Amino acid sequence: MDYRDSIKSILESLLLAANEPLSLSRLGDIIGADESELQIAIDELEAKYGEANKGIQIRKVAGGYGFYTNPENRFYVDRLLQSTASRRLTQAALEVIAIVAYKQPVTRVEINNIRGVNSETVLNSLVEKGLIKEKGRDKTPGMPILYETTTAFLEAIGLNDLNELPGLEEFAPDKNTSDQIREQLTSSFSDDTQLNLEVKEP
Amino acid sequence: MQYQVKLDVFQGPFDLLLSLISKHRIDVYDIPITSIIQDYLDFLNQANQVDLSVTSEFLVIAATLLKIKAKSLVLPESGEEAEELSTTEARELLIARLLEYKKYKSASDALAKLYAAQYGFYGNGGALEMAAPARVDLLEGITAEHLGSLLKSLLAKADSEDVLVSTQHILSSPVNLRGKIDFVLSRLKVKGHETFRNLTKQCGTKIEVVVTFLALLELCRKRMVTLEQTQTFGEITIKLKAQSKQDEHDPSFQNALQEENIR
Repeated sequence: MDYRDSIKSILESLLLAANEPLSLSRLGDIIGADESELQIAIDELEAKYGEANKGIQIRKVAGGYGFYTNPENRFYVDRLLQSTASRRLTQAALEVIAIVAYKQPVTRVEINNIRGVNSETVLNSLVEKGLIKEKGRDKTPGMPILYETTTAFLEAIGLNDLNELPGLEEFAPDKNTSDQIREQLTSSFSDDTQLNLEVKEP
Repeated sequence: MQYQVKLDVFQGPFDLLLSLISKHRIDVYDIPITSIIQDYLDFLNQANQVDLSVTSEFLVIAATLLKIKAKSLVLPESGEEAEELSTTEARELLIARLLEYKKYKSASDALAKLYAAQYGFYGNGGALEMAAPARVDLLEGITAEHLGSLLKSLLAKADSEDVLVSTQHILSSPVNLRGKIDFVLSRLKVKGHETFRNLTKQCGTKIEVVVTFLALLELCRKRMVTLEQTQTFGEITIKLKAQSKQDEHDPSFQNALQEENIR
């Protein structure tokens, strides 16, 4: 077995044993090999597992490498893990994640203010799921807890880095939508509309 | 999931307001607060469950709308309080918040797509999830009978207590950890063992019960006593350890305790 083959063998063992994606530098520390050498070995492994019909794939996600099941087999893996129910995220959870992802570190009050509704329960369940974690406390009065996203979050949405998130401004409502919102609200305040509040008989 | 009939479930008042606004796209003049409220009432009638926090948050929004509108109908009095937001400012604030919310809502849709695309890639975390022990159930084995008998003993305790007006709040007597430790030790020397319930029977205040508990923790840490609780919420039994004599005269222990006076 030549040097590269033995590195590939070690890599396979590490990726199987790890419970989170392993970064190149971490693998380098563990194996004691040059990162460029590791990169070549990983690329070769990726190609090897990337062949069609393999049940295991190597993926780069959350800034590291890991073994993942082939999504084609998810029906069976779901039966094993019985995890479909716990994977589903509600609209509320997605909104909270979006706010934390783009504004981190962020406090609970800031999240509530944007959503206009109390988000404590949602926040707690996301912490429990491991997608969000506490990150110290804010320096403002009351020292509120700050929240940030986790590595598991990056893994869950398949990104390597928070910088890969689409820019928040891309989601800003376009001019039409903004104008529409403004117009509707303005019209409901303007004094040419009669204040009409009679209660209808049921 | 397309085959499912899905009612709109709104996540908070902004969500609702946004969707109501988009529904009334055409009738600019027909968007009085009444119709927003009517739509909201219809939505409430449809929903089988009413989330109180969502409902009340909407009322806040509706009230804000009403207030802004009412103010716009009334001619401003001269010398009106300056610190209150003007109608325009309040409206701009609301619009800004709505736009901000809409931005994050769209972002969450994008994240949902990314998330859905990852469905099926199970890493080793999946295996861990499977191997993880079930969550500890604090109430495991506790039956209604257990709770009932606990309540009964609490009520009996309340009955037997002095009904005279407590004077503790007038001059609270300082509770001292060192003193409590001595008290616990003296009680244990008589019987060799004692229950926490008995030790705290005479306690007049919560803080005294807490300090008694701290005393137990301290004694336990010093390996002078053993604590035993056979079941959750059950009786705590304290037993004196045989070799505790020498520890008691350990000077470092004495010094450490001297510092910890709690009022």
